[in-house]
Amino acid sequence: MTTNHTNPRADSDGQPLSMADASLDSRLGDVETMLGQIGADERSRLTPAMFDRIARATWQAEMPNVIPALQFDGRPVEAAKVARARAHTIGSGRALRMAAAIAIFGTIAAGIVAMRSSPSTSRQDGNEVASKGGLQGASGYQDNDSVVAVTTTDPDLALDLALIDALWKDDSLSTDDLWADAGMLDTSSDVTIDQLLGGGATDTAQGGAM
Amino acid sequence: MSTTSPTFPDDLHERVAALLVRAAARDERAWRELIGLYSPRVFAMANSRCHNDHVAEEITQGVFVTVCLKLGSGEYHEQGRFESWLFRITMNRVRDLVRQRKRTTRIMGTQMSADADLDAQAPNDDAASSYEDQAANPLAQLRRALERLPEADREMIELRHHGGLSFKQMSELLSEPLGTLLARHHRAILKLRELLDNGSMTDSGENSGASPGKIMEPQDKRHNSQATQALDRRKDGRQ
Repeated sequence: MTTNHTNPRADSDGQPLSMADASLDSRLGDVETMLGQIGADERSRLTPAMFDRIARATWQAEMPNVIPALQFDGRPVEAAKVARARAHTIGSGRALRMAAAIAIFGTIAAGIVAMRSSPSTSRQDGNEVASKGGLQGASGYQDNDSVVAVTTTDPDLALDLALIDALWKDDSLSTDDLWADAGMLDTSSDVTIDQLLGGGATDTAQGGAM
Repeated sequence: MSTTSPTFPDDLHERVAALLVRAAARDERAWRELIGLYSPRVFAMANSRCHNDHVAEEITQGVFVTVCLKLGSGEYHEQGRFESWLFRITMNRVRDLVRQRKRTTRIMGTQMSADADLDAQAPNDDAASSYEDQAANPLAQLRRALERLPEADREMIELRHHGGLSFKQMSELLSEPLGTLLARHHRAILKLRELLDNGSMTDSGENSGASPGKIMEPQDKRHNSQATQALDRRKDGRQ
């Protein structure tokens, strides 16, 4: 027996619904109505700013901007594609420091920094730090629960991305080691990422523009 | 859009097909239009689980990155099933989230509910008022009831009411006959009704004897439930 939608008081055969059936039908309809409201509420939580970040970041992720000659650690670096880095061993503070360092070096023209090394350190923090560093429209994405991605449309970022990749993969490496390996920072200057973050030491960082 | 009719018009498909062709040809405006059409629905499904706008945004972005990469590489060929594909990706991302939360809970070695885990760490600023403090609010009660549905039921409800999929699309996506899906959906609604009627959302589930994240199957209470008996009389017609 089905509800007759022309006459909700009757079933599909035109027979009147019993009071119990009609009451149940109405009460189930109430649940569906409320579910519709909840769904609409959830959809409305996506703000224009979120939409803009998603649209921009996803489009940039597809940009076919490749520098095949550039390699890091024996692997070709596909700049401006997506540099993936495992973040399961990294502390959130470190990810934030890296984001700030990237921003301070100013090599990301239109970049995305995502850091989700812990649930409490999310895109909100990443965006804030990157924004302070001068990134325009900082955004990012997390590929799954252990992958952080950085994307950019700037091909000059290739080595930076590889550096981040390495740093996130091996938590035993110090940031200074990595910067030195990449030739991006003169370790003799004793400039640390923390100092960079603290401001005032940016000028002593060498090799920011590779 | 009517809140009681979450599905979107069929003529959207032609428009979407055209947008997909343009986006694959690197038309950014078409891509933004696609995201404008679908991101709220993907976001809603994600946020229903994580109750965290930032995480939901991230999941949404991850979904569209996958779509964008597949379109750009020519791996996707539009055959009128874009929405099913999109929401399959979404569903997988949401499942990843659920698995991650369960794993985290096990690692922590606590008795806390998996659903509470992520919320406790990074809820929306207004999540408390939206989801917790409004215990007397029917919508808040229904949200809590939804969290206690079996996973498959909850997924189906979210695809329908948050994602706005038609039953036909859900049938394709879940590889289930349409009639079966309709019956399952009806039973899920009935379970929610029973949870609301039992008032079991005002505690942790002790009243219903259910463990967090799972409720009693209707057959367990079949002979005691007038509503379920009524459903039994009518379910063939529903299908």
